[in-house]
Amino acid sequence: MIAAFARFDLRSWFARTQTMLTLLFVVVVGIALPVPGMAIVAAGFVTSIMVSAPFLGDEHGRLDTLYGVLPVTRGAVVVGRTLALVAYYLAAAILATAVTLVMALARGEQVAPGILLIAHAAAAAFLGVTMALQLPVFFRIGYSRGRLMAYAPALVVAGLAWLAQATGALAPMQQALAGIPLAAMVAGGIVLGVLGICIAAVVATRLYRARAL
Amino acid sequence: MTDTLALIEDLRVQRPNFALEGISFAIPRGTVVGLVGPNGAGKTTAIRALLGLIAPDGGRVETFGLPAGSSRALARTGIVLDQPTAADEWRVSTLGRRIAPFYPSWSEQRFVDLLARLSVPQQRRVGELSRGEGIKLSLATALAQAPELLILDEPSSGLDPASRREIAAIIREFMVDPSHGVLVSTHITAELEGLADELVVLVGGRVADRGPLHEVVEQFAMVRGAGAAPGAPVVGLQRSGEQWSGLIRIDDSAAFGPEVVIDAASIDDIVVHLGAERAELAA
Repeated sequence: MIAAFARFDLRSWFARTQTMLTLLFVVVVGIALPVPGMAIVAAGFVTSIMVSAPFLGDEHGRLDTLYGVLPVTRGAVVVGRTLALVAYYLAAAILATAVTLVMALARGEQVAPGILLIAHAAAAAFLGVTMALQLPVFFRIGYSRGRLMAYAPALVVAGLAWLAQATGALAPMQQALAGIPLAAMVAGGIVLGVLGICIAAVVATRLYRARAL
Repeated sequence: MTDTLALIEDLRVQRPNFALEGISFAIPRGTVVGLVGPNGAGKTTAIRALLGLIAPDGGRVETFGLPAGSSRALARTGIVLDQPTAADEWRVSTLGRRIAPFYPSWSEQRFVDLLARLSVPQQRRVGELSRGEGIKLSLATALAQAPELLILDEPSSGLDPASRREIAAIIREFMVDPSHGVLVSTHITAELEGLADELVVLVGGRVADRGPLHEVVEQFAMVRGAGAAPGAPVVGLQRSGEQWSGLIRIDDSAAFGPEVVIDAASIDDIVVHLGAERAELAA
C-alpha cells in the first residue's frame, strides 16, 4: 500500500505547473551560474520548497479526508508521501547533474567528480534536515497553519550563511571543511540526509495518527 | 461472519462548543439504519468517529469487529460524505483509476455503469460538478468498491426529488444482499420512510430515541390545540398565537380531551419536538 500511495501522491502533484517551474529553476541555475554543483544544491533547495506543495493540494482538494477513508494506514500515507518527495528530489538531482555536465561540456570545462559528489552530499544533508523539520509540522497541522515552515529551512540556511560571512567565520569554516577527507564528507552528507528522512517519517507518523481529519 | 457490521458504544467526543455524550447504536447486517437529528445534533461527528477520522474521548467504536479507521475495515466500507473526497482538478473519468489500487474488489465497469445511471458527466472535472452530481459521484465510487457496509452522510443535500429516489433505489438494490448494511444520516427524514429499518434520533449529542423505525414512529403522536397549554406531558411544546402543538407519547393520549386533535407523528415531528425539548432543557 505504501508504493500504491506514493504513486497516487506523485500522480496528484508531480505534473503540476508549480512542480515543473521548480525543476525549470534547477535548469536555469545550472545554465546561469558558472560554479559547478550549484544546480545540484539548488535541487535540494527546491525540494525543501516543494515539501509543502502536496499538503497545499490536500487542503484545496479535501484530500486529507480521502486519505482518512482510504483503506491505508496513516503510516503508509506518511511513508508513501515521503517516498514521493524523495522521488521528486531524485528527479531534480538527476536533472541538475545532467545540466551541470552538459553546461561544462558546452563551456569546454572539466568537472571534478569530487565537486559533484560534495554537492550531492550537501543537497542530501539539506534535504534530510528540511524534511525532518517540515514533514512532522505539515502532517500534524496541515499547510494553512504550517505554511511558514515551507520557507523556514531555506531562510535559516541563507541567514546562517550571511551571518558566517558577516562575522568572518566563513573562511575558517571552509578551511575546516577542506581538512575533512572527501569520502567522509560525502558519506556524512548522505547519512545525515537518510537519517533526516527516516526521523521525519517516524515523527510525522506518530503525529499524523493523532490528527483529526 | 459477525452479525454486527458496526458498533458504537458509549461514544464520547468533547469539543469546545459541542459534545457527544455517550451515544450507542449498532448497524446489524441486513439493516438500513437512519441517523436523524437537527443540525448540530452530532450525526456527522458520530460518522467521523465511526470512520476513524476523529479520535473519540471515550467509548468503543468498531466496524467489522475492528477498531474504527482500521484499513481492513475501510476496505469493506463504502463512504459517501457531504462533499466528494477528490481534488477539483481531477476528471471524473480518471477518479476510478486513481483510487482502484487501494480496493481489492474495485470494479471499473461498475463505476462507469453507475456514473451513466446517475447521469454524472464523466469528462468534467470534479470541481465543475454541481453539489448533487458530486454526491452521485461519491455514491458511484463507494459502490464500485463492492462494500459490505455503506455509510452515507447527508446524501440527499442538494439533490432534486428524482435523484433522491434514484439514490434510494440504489440503496435498496444494495440491500438485496442480506449480508450488507447501511447507515444513512439525513435531515430530510421523509426519504427514510420505506427505506430505513431502524432509526436513531440524535438530539444535542445524545440518543433521544432509537429502535425499529415503525416502533419509534408509532410510540409518538402529535397533539394540536388552542388556548391554555395542556396540563398533560407534551414534548417540545410550540406556540403560534393561540395555537399550540407538541409531541406526546402515545400512552399519554388518554390524558387529552376531545378539544385536542391527535395525529400520527412523522419522523420530522419527532426530530423537531425532541430537539425543541432539548433546547428548552439546555436553556
